[in-house]
Amino acid sequence: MTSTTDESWPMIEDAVYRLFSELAGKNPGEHIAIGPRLVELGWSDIEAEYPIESCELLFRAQGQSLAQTDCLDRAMVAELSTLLDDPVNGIVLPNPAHGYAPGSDSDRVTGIVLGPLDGRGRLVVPVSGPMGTVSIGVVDAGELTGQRLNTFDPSVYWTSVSGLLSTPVRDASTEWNRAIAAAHRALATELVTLADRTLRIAVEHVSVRVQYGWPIGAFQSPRHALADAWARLEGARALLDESWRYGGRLSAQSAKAAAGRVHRAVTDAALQVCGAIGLTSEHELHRYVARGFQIDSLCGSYRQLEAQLAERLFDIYSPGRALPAITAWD
Amino acid sequence: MSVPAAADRSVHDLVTDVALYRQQFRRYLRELEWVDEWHRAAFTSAEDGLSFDATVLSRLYAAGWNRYGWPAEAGGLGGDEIHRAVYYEELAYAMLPIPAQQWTLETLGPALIRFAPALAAQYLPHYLEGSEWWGQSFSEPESGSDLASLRTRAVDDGDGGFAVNGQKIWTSQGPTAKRLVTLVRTSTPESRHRGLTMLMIDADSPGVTVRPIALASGRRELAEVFFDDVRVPADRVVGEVGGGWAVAMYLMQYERGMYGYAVLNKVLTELGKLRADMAERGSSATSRERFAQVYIDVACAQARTATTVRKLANGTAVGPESSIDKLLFGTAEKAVNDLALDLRRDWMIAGVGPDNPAELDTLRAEWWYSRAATVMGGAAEVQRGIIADHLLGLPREKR
Repeated sequence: MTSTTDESWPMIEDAVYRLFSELAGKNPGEHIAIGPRLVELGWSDIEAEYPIESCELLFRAQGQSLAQTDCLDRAMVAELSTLLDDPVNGIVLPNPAHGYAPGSDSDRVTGIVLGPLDGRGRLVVPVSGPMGTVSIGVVDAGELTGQRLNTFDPSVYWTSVSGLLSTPVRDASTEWNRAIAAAHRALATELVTLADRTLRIAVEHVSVRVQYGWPIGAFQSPRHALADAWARLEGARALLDESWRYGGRLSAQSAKAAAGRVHRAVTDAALQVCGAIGLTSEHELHRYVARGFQIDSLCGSYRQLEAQLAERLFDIYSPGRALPAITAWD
Repeated sequence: MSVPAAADRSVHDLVTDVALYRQQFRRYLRELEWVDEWHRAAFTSAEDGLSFDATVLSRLYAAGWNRYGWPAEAGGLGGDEIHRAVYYEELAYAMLPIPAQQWTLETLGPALIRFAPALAAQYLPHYLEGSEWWGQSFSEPESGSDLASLRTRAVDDGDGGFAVNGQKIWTSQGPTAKRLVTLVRTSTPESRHRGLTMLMIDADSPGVTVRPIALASGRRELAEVFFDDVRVPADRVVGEVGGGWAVAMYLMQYERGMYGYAVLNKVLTELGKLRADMAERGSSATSRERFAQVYIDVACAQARTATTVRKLANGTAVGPESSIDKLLFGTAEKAVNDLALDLRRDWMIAGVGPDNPAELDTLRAEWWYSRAATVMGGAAEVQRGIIADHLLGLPREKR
């Protein structure tokens, strides 16, 4: 988002970027509860002043730094907070195989938790009901069994969880839709940032790598491949900006799908122009590639979201009706 | 100039409140008596299509709706680019075809207002009311992507004006255009982009020969224009003598932002009609998923061009970043037409489908014309080069 122009905002951005890169540098691979660190920055005032920008910033900083935090949990729980009597520490996300429909029912918890399960405290559990309704319950992490997932990006710590849901659930269909839209915007932001990093690494590489006496970035095909990838990335970013600005489920879902697809496209271009070195563990490219694949799989991969969007676009069809508009002006 | 049916007070309200403009234009379209005629409009020639669209423009002009977003000095009612964006959105919302004259209006209109206010005051009202439209005559047989190499010359005619000699090609709507906004060389060929001047030339001037060019669809969408000692008075200069490149660059911002936004609304309507076909005749899950993908591509392009429209509306100059818009909307327009071709294969390829020859002919013509989306106004390859140089900062291309 580029709309914030007052002078304190760049300082906030700077502080958040520093915080995340410090977290990622000091504790590589560790999953961090970000709350206490944000309190040190005076986050509640910042959130009050910049409700949208502050949220967006966290996921940009997360993508940039590759830190792993409970930001997503926080963003989703915030949308469910009116239904929660006591604070919770995290959320059970739908299993990646199921898109964004919760896998739990009113008796059994099934899903994933970002980070380890130990010491996670109270977790919100979204529960699928009849006709696409969603309720929520709360469970203590200690009552669940968890197993660390074998992830494509080995630096990611995700836990597959299951167990009994003993507490009563309450209807949360509206709030859950808002939580999922918030998750889609957040994840899309992280994906776009990862794609941005990926592309910049490739640009740097082709600018210095010399073959046939020229930097390979002077040859037309890598130039055009990267230019195309950049254009697509900017398109996804623009859609995401609209989504942050004006909200809405459909736009958040479209933005996440666009971000996932563009991350793949950027990855393809970057891996090609970086050549063999880009495939090595010593080169940093793979970190942004692999992390993007993980992030894309949360709350619906781009393929799952496109399929769901297709269903939705045909569900809402009636003769003479236009497709949903994308932009708003006020 | 006629004042629309609405009173001045409400014109002012619609200028200052774009949401109100949207609401009232939407109501107008919903209650429009001849809306079925507009919905059904399909023709087998470019000329018939433009002639119908001219009628649409004249009616919208009489009611005032297409005058918002244009300054009063040029026949408008005031407002800015956002009014025009909303105008296109509302046509798309009603799934009505956008009058084809609007495409060139969006590129030439703003440049004329900026660089030749007197010409804009004199002629733009006629454009808005559909009684004339113009062609953009920049390309030449030997100057396509390399526009700055153009050779059509204008020299002092000894009478305070110019004598123009040369040849232009690929002028959209050229066969029926009343005036040609023409980029000519007023200095030496070596002067490249510094020695160019923009002239507005009447297509019926002695010495102008317009030869229509039929595309593969059979439609005469474009024209080749020959200038044989054509006299052009000095007051037909748009901008400065020698300042033609600046006019062309100013115009490009609109071609990439505003025109792009408008054309994406047309594309969204085409996609909406395709959805109707698919919903009514049945479709596979695979087709629907591809549909959703293309819808997202259109959404991305539209969001991107909307950011450019916002910049244009608040007077921010748009630079090389508009190449991104151009690449995205050109690609999206092609993707929609490809999808339409694939999903209506029997009809498009073998004519097996609804008994509506004009509509079928139009769909085929649209597919052919959409191929130009990544060619005209700077080929996609040129845009990629601009992005590589100016936005990514890559090493200069080895040639």
